[in-house]
Amino acid sequence: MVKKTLSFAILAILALGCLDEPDCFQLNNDLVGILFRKLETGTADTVEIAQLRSVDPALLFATDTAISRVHLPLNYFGNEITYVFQDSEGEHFLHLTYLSQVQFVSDECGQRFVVTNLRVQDHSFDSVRLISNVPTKNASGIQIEIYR
Amino acid sequence: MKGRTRVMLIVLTSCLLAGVIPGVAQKADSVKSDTIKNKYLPTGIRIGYDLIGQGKSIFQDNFSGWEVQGDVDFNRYFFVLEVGNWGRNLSSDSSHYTNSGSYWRVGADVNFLTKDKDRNMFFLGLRYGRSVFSETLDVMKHDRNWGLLSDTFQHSDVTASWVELTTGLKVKIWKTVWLGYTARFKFALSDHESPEMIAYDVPGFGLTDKETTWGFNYYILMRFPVRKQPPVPDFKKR
Repeated sequence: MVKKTLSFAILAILALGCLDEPDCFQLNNDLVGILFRKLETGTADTVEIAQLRSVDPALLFATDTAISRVHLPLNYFGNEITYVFQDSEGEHFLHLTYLSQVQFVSDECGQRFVVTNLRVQDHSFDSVRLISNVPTKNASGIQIEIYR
Repeated sequence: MKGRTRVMLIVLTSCLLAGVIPGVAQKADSVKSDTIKNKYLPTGIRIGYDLIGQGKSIFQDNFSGWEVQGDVDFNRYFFVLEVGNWGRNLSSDSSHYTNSGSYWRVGADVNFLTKDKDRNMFFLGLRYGRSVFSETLDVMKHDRNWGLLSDTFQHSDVTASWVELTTGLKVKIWKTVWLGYTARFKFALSDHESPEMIAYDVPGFGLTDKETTWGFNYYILMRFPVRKQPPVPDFKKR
């Protein structure tokens, strides 16, 4: 009886050592990559941007710069955002909607926001193409192509 | 996950090598057990309490839970019902997470020590588990783009189900007192998301960061006989 009890006690100690140690995830995937293309040829386009900002919440991302691609942050506490691109010809807007879900990760990592179902709800460009509906965690990959 | 799996394998192998399983190498039985009358009638009910859950509740500030297990024998087959409850309370620099919920598992074990004098068990089994739980996540975070963000996310009355493969031992210690453990490979967790939140921890299943996970319970059990057990065929004294 003592031998059996000891065997089980050792097993219990071993088992307790391997319980519930979480791994850290990479966190939010809240960046949307936007690439500009020429409508006529489909080749990459460089745009002189006077101002690039978001509306509600209002945030200024860039002024007086030339870009062919840009990665913009999504407000993961909401489910939509509008970006305004101002150039010499005027203003264009791009209204995006998405699903943002929060998940606790660990006491070390905190929480993460998982953004999916990205959609182009409305825009004022000539043409907009959604490449992928899942934003990225870092500034790589393109989700949206804007033709102008 | 790999580390956890490795430790679990070491535990199982240690048991086997330590000779905790009596009679593994029993010879083929010369008496056909089919000749025993009413051999599929239950002979007793065994009720167990999980000591690991109790230990975690005592020694971990962020966990509270319990689990009981009951089984009924039908010859070498055991109907098993497990009921439990657990909750966690975790904090990080930017968030505070709580969850709480109840669960049950139902299934069967097959005993492979059919000739053991004490009816000790080495078993393999299958379970279907179901959990109903709620979780809350308070987030207060300073984002480099959006500034201070603060919100409370709630995930109420969520149901989740899963499947488990089980193995383990149950050993008679003294009269009606038994000790036993169950190792669980858990998989096929059902959808557990709401439009706002993805579950972090499902009571009864565990963390949802991987599609499969392991579990381990260590029970102290009491067996209540309801009729005399049929004789063990061809038992040889050790």
